[in-house]
Amino acid sequence: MKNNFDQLYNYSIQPSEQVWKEIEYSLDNKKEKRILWWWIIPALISVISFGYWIYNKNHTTPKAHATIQLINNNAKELNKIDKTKNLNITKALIIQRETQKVEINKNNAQLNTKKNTTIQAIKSSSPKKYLQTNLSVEEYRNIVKQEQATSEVVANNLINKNSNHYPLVQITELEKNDSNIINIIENKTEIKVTSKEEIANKSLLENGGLNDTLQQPLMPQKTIQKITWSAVWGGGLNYLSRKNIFGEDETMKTFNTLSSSTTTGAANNSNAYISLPKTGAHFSVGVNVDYTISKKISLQTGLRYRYLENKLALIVDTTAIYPAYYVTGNQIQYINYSNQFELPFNINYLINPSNKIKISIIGGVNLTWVFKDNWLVAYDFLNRYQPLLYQDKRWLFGIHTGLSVNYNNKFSLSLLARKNMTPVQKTGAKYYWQQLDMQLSIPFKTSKK
Amino acid sequence: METLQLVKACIKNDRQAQKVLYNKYASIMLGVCYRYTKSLPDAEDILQEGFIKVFNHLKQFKNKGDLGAWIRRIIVNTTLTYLKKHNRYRREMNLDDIALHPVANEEVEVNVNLKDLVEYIRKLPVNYQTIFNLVAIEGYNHMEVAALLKTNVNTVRSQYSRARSLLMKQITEENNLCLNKIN
Repeated sequence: MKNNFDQLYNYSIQPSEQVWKEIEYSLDNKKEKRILWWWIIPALISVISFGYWIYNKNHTTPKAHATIQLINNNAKELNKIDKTKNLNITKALIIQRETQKVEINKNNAQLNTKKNTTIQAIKSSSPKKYLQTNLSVEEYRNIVKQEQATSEVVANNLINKNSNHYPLVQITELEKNDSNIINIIENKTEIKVTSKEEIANKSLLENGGLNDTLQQPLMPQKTIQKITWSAVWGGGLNYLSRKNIFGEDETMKTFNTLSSSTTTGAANNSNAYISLPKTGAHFSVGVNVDYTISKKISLQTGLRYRYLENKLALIVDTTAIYPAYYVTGNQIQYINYSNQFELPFNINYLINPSNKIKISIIGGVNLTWVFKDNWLVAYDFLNRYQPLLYQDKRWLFGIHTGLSVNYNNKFSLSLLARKNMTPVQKTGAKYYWQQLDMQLSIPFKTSKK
Repeated sequence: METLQLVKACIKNDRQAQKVLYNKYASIMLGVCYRYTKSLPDAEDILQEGFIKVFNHLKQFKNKGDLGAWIRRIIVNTTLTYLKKHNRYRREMNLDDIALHPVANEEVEVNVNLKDLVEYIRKLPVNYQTIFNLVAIEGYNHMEVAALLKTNVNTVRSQYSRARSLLMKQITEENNLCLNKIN
């Protein structure tokens, strides 16, 4: 009987031709899977936002150009303004007004009163006062709706109709469209006028609210310096890559110790293996603190708790036996659960500060404190796992970049690509996290400086 | 073509070399798959899956040891995975140490040809069939099988013993039936 069993070792059956055909087909259709997907989405968003920015830049309506601009009080900025262009704009407006005979809300006495107040404010006081005391956002929007000639309406609300000067309010650095004006009015409390500027403005305003050189009324420079606290929720995907695929890590040392002590018979251990990086997921929750230092640049930090799960498979030498672990095919499956606190340090560059939907480019570094980290190994075919190694607490350093979309200062959605620069394990083979992270942040407190 | 050259050619995706390698080992490996399964199409599925793994991971074979043993191990592992993935096998893959069948330690000498013996093994319940194949034919010891199947050594030992006993019983009954027919 035993002889029969021995013979069975080499028992053979001729397979059908179909089997080879199927194998051949599978090998022909084998594709190299390059895991580049975590770069595709940020790249796509970058391209779309850049395209949007370019489109906006090139498609601002001439009417809007002609009517609304905010002059920066900086002398250098004033010099940059194209006088010829302004003259042309003025002429265009005269023609426009004369030919179209635009009359603003004659039937709305209340609105006219507001306009008169506005004009008075410009002539007798500072633009700051105008912004603080006159048209509310809602009123402004109503005007826009009624007149259907937004820029002209706003312009006409800013100047005296009987004035010899025409409605030109320049907004430097910003695109000249309706949403800019909405933005200025909405953010009127954020307008800061230094005493020096106030003096300068007053002097200008006393001359009819106009800059003699440019024949333009001036508005104060909008400076925003504020600290915003936001609640942040996030989630995303991980990818564990291994730089040194031939290095031996602690995990494998454990395997080798265990396997060499028990391996007998048909199996022996040659320690040959490579790693197969696998993906996982994570979520995070925390607080962000944004410090806006200029119209376009803000600094960000915060504190986040992150919970992370990642699977990892090692291809092992199939002639070896790993007693405590289950070999699926020729792989051993691990899973990693990690609890972390993260401190991000970002610089955000706002591409379009004047729009309702603001897009920022984010770049920064992060420090992560891994305070509880568990590695498990599969011990049966049901993918049940048992603890393998308990990692020490440790710091990880990483870099990240991405894009953030802010809607009307109400919430922002960020997409970040992150890469750890320090290995996830203290010793042994070097595994590095690469992560794609989506974050939603909702501001709950804003303090002005 | 020597094994090393053959392996190198296969790694370079030389289809001709891959076919040579396949032809060299396919029939024995199908024999392995067949012993663990209940049907030939299942065995062929495993063979196909196993050889795809072999070709995809052949660069890990560093000419240490016998290529046949290396491929065999992949095929056995693929077979075990297959058994655990598919419900019709998984349901029977009960490795709890429940005395479904009495243990008989007596050694009975029976004459049975190889093909019939394979069929008798295939008629065993899946858990017995798997353990029997791993221990009696592949040559793993009980500890190794316990590690592979993540069960304890005593369970393997008792299930192997029961598998053996059941196999003997089947063969004996079949022989007696034949003898009765002749008489």
